[in-house]
This record gives sequence, C-alpha cells and structure tokens, in this order.
Amino acid sequence: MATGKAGRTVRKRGILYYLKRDWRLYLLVMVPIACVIIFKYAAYPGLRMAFMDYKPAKGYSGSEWVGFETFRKIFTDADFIRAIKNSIVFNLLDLIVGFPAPIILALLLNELRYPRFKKVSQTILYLPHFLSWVIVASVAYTLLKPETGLVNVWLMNIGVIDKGIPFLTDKLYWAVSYLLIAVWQNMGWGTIIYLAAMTSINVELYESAHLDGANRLQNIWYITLPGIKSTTITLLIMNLGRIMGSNFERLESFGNVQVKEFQYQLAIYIYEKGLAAGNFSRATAVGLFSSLVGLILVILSDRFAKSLGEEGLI
Amino acid sequence: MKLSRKIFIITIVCIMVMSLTACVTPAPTGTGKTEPTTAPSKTEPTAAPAAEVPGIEGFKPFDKRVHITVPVYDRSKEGYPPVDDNYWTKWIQTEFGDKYNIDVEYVAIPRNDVMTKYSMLIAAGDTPTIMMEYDYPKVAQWANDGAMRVISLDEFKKVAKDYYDAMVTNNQLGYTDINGKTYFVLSERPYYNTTFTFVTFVRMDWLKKVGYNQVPQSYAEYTDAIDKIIAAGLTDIPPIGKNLPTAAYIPNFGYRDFPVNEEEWIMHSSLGTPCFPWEPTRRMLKRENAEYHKGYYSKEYDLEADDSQIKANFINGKLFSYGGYMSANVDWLTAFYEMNPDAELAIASIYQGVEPGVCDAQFRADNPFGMIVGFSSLATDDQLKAAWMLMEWMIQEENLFVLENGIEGVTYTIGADGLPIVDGNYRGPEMLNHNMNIDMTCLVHASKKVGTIEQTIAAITPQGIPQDFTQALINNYYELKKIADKGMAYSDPVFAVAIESESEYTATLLSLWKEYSVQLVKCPPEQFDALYKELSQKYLDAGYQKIMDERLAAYKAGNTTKLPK
Repeated sequence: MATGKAGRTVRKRGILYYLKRDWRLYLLVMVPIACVIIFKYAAYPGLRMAFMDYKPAKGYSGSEWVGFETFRKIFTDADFIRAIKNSIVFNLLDLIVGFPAPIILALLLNELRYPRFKKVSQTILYLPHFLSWVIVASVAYTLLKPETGLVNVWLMNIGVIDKGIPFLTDKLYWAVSYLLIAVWQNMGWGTIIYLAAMTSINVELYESAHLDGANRLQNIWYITLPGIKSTTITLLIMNLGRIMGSNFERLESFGNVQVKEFQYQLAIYIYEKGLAAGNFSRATAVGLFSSLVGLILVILSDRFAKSLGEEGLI
Repeated sequence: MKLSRKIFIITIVCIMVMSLTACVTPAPTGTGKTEPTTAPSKTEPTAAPAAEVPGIEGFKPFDKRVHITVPVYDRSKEGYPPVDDNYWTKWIQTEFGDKYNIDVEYVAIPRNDVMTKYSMLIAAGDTPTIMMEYDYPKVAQWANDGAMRVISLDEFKKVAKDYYDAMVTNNQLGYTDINGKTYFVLSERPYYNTTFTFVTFVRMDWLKKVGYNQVPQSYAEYTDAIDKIIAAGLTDIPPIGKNLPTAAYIPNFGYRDFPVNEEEWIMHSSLGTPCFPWEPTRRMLKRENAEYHKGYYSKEYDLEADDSQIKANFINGKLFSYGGYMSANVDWLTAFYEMNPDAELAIASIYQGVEPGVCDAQFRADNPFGMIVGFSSLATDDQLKAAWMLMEWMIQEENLFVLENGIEGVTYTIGADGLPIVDGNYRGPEMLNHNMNIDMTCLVHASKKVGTIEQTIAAITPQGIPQDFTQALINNYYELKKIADKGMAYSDPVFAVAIESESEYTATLLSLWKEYSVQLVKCPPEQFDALYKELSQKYLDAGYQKIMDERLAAYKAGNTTKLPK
C-alpha cells in the first residue's frame, strides 16, 4: 500500500490493470515503438560485420571473424583521420552557426504583432526545409558557379567583380556557402519547437514586466530566453550526439573535386571505402565507432546539464 | 517499483530478446545470408534432363514455375520506356518464359554505378540469377567473393549448345576460369579489334569556314583548326566538350610507346583502376593542361559529372565534336540536325591526335568477348538451367532478329538489299530501347551483326537524318582495321586469379584520380611536372603500388594473358 500526497491510501495496482484500462493508448504507442524496434534495434545483429571480414555472398556463417582487425585498419588509415577531423570541425561549425539561428528567428517571429504577416513569414521560412539537398545543391550550383552562375554573371555585368567568385569551387568559400545554405534551409523549421516553447510561458510574467517598465529587449532577455532554456538545452544535447555524424546527401550534392579536402567527411568515407568498395565491415565499423562517440558525448553533455541544475535528457 | 519503470524494463528486455534472437536465428534459405554456395546445389532439376537432345531442340517446360532475374543496364535515357518493364521484356516473357514455365524478371542496373548496385543486391540476398559485366576485374571480384557459382561447361553445352559453339568459334574458352575454377561464359563481340561502333563527329561546316576541306589528320592540324574556330568566334563557349572523368579507364593508348613493355602493360593497362602514375597518362594530362589553358575546355568542366551538358551543347550547335555508339536511332544526331539544319558533320579521323614523340594512332581494342556472364551462387539448379535456356533461346537468329529490329512495318522496314532498316524515330509502345535493345541482347553479343561488315555497318548507320554516313563509317572501319592489323590496337590483360588489392583500393583510387586529374589539367603549366610527381607518389601510397605488385606477381606466375605478338 502506498500513501498519496493528501494522506489518502492508494491501492497498488498490477500492470494488467493499467494495460486493460488504457489499452488504446498503449496500442497507439506501439506504432512508434515498433518503428524504432524494426528500424533501429533490428539492425543490431548486423554490427557483427564490424568484427568479421564480411562477404555478402558468404553470409554471416561463411564470413571469417577477424576481431578488431577492421578497426585497426581504420585507425591507421590517413583518410579516416582526415574524415573524422573534417566531420568534427564542420559539425561544430554547423552547431555554432546553425544552432542559434532558429532561436534568434523564433524570438523575432514571437515579437511580431500582425498575425497574418507572422503566419506568411513562418510559412515562407519553413518551405526550404521541404526541399531535398539534391535540389538545394542543384539550385546553388546554378546560381553560384564561378563563370556561368547567375550571381557571378550579374555581379560581373554590373561591374562589381572582374572574375567570378568561387563560392562552391574554392574550399574556404565552399565551407562558408555550405554552412550558410544549411542555416537557410533549416532555421525556419527549427523555430517550430522554440515557438511552441514560448507559447507555454506564462503571459502574466510579461504583463508584470510591462507594469515594471520593462522594454521588449528586457522581456526577451529576462522572460522569453529563460522560459525556453530547458528546450534549448535538450536540443543542444541532442545536437551534440550528432557531432560525429554527417549527412551523405548534403555532402555528395555539394561536393566537387576542388573541395574534396573539406568535403571528405565520415559519410563520404563510409560510402567510398565501405559501400562502393563492397567493404561492409569497414562501413559498419566506422558507423559503430561514430555512434559510440556520439553516445558518449550525449551522456557527458547530459551530466554537464544536470550539474548546472537543468533536467537533462536521460 | 514504479509502474513506468516496470514498463520500461519489460520493453528493454523484449527488445534485447528480439535482438539476440535475430543474432542466433539463421536466415531462411535463399535469402543470401546462408552458407556460401560455391558448388552447384544438389536439388534435382524439375524438368527432364536436356542431355538427350542438346540445345533448344531439347527444351522442355519446367514442371514447377522457375523464376530468374536478369540484369539490364539503366542509362536513364529520356523518352525511352523503363528498361525492366517494357514491350520487349513482356515479349520475352510471352515468347520464352511462358513457353517453358519460367518467370523472367529484369533488374535495372544503373549504368554509371554498376558495382554499388550489385553490392546492394548481393548484400540483400537478391543477387540476379545472371551476373554480367564487360570488365573482367569486376566479375573476377564477384567470383572471388563467392557471389557466383562454379559451373560445368559440359553441362552448359548440353543446354546452350549454340551459345557454346559460338564461344568455341570465337576462341573464348580460355577466359572462362578464375582461380582454377570455371565461372563464366562469354558473349560475342563482333569485329572486337576495331571499335568501329563508337564514332566521333566533328563540325565540318566550321572546318570549312576556317579553311579546311577535310577533317584534321594530325594534332598540329587539329590545334590549328580549333585555334582558328575560337578566333573566328564560331561558338560563344569553349569548343571542346570535357567533363569530370568518372570512369577508371584512362584513354592513354595513343600516348603509349609502341610496342608497349609487357610488364608495364600488365601493371597498368586496366579498366578496373585508373593508371595514373604511368608515363602515357602524364603525357595525356600534359596535353590536356595545355589545351585547357588555350581555352579549349570550359573552366567549370569538373563540375559536370556526366556528359549530358556536353551533349546538350553539341545539339545546340555550340561544340566542335561529340561522339557515341552508332545505331539506327542515335537520338542526339537527330536532335542536332533539328537544331542546326544547315550544319554539316564529318567523322573525326583517328589520326587527329597524332603528334610525333607524344601520341600515335594506337587505340584500345575491345576484349575478344562482350559480356562476361556468370551465375549467382544463390541460383538453384533449375534457375541455372533456365538462365542457360534464355541465353540459348536468345542466340537463335529468329529471336535475336526480332529483339534487334522489332516488328516489320512498325519499327523497321526491309530495304532493297533485303536488310532491315530500323526506324530510329519510332516512339510507339513497341519502340526499341537504347541502341536497338543492346542492353538485353548483350547477353549474346555486344553489337548487332548482319552478314558482311559492310552490311553490319549499314544496319547500325543512323537513320532519319539529312546526311548518310554509311560509306564514311565503312571507311572509318577499314582505317581502324589497318591500324589493328599492325598490332597497334590491343586490349588489357585478363587475370586468371583475382587481384585482391584491386577490390580493396580501387574505389579510393578512382576518387583520387578524379581529384588529381582536375588539379593537373588546371594547374599552371610550369607547375605541372612537380605536381604530377607529388600526386603520383601519393597515389602509389594510397594502394596503387600494392595493385601493381600483385598484378606483376600474377603475370610472373603465368596467370595472365599476354600481349598479342
């Protein structure tokens, strides 16, 4: 027997009682759980490949166990080191450039007072999210090619430049374009969660602040930002988990041989040296390694958030 | 314990049990995750043995429906029906499949990403019953990885007698084995040492405007003509089409010393891995570097990974030349004349690149075979036999004729010489797919063959365009033959053992080749030699040295073909 807050005795019920009472809810939640099991956990047995010289035609039973040999090869491969370095640097840059953008945009949208303008702005800002990277990159190349790109042609025609700017064909320009285009594509969509968090802030706080003479900036600084702090930290932790990941579609679409030095990240490495070479063991080993590092980063940042008095994620 | 924690623990336990179960449960038979099958399975064929009457005469329907999968290249060509589901796939099903109780399913293989697609199919346990490729290193890798089953040529000839006889006639039996076991049968490649089916066209009207009455016959003439075309402003873009090299093959035959050193040929000459650190490649890149700086190519050429932009530019009348395989329906030639009705084209001369001490008129002859055909290690005896039956059925003249020409009065008419004239512009449901269904008929031969070489060329001469190139194509063939007869047309070595390092490093080296070749073509000419030296060393260190060593060892052990004497 347990005692409730009001001192009333609460009878402890068995799991079957709750399952019977709320079976519809459990049934609903089974759908996403099944998806996670099928698409995430069901693939776990395939991790064996990382410890085998896996040959698809021979299957698991016919392939040879090689222990950590694949990992040894990977860690002594200069291309892997280059890929991991690029992945970390570009993911950190993505985080630095891309993470604050939706927060700032959400704050701006939240301050808009004319509802129709706000809705139209939000819709326009969301739209790029629905374009695939292939389309975004194709448009970007059409606009930004050094000689025939519309932007460069226009700039040359009006006499601003003599020679096309290599937005996507020089590695440093490419890095900037690559990061900013991602910000453009994602920041509108990213505002949704922050705007939702802002709606949960008690309106009375703003009214009190107004009576105390606070201006808009002070409202943002002292009420809105603290109000979305836990959401921000949760999303930050989740993003840190992806610090070792890389988006193959984005990299491949934006890649070209002149920027290979920066474009060569883990997704490209896995594709080139793993899948394209038919070396599934190597692809799995790299994937496993980067997932483990991501997991460790999530746990560490979660602990760090908790040490600062936040709820954390786990 | 709280309810939520209980539920959480139960869920986790369920997931772990399911995962572990999946770990220990063997995959069902036939999914590709079972024991390797390097020898024919022991299942009894359900059809009567074909041994009594060899070849198609002895075919009998299977008692139980047999399903086979056959690869077909998907070239993503606009205006063509899907390669795996069209009038002709259905026709094969009706005329062959239904007759012998076989389901013939075609599997589309992207032409520019063959190995990845096959890897995915193999990994998913969906290996096509027939596995075929034009390049020996690729099929050698599949055989070596256990994706193909060992076959018996004696059994093969009982089912596919005519196919086997063609292999004997074409002297192909020496190419059927790898690592001492028989895996392959080979299709025919008619007139393989002349490559007459691939032709480059040049703008003769432009040449006339800059003072040439014939196509350039040397590199000096060629560069002079191009320089004059640029100076005359006949096009508003660089006149030569070039795109990022995406294939492992480097067209450096003309730049090789003749006769080529056999050990160098063994180590470098290959369609499997780019032979970047080799003197002929250096010469070729150096010339391209000079041409780039003279404005022959677009400054953005490396951003184009395929030739679609080049083709579009040629069709729009902006490029000097463009090339492709000949057939009755060459879409880009038809489109070119529609856009440029007053233009005149000519066939480029093989001597256009000749420069003493740099490049001569050598060229890569094709292999003495077309498709190298192997069979999935997952194929049952029935499936193997059904695949052989399909090959034997397709090689029959009457079936091949229909597949290559279509329906009389619809897709072709009979000319005065009694030969079919395919209507290249026909776009109805019965239209032939790319190059007169070559990606289906490649199972038996690499190009259409009709009687004499003149008749064969007539059959593949583009139709429905203002210029008739039949005689020019025949002349081109005899010019190529003259060079081939001197021994200056040869192919790459074929290895009877798998080169393991090639499968390990080739994807990386291909990627490096793309990167390095662009760097070298675009670098300032005075930096070319130093950069080439530096990049060559990097390339060797990235795995090419290991490939060279392994190939040479195979050669010394007698496991390769030799240069023709």
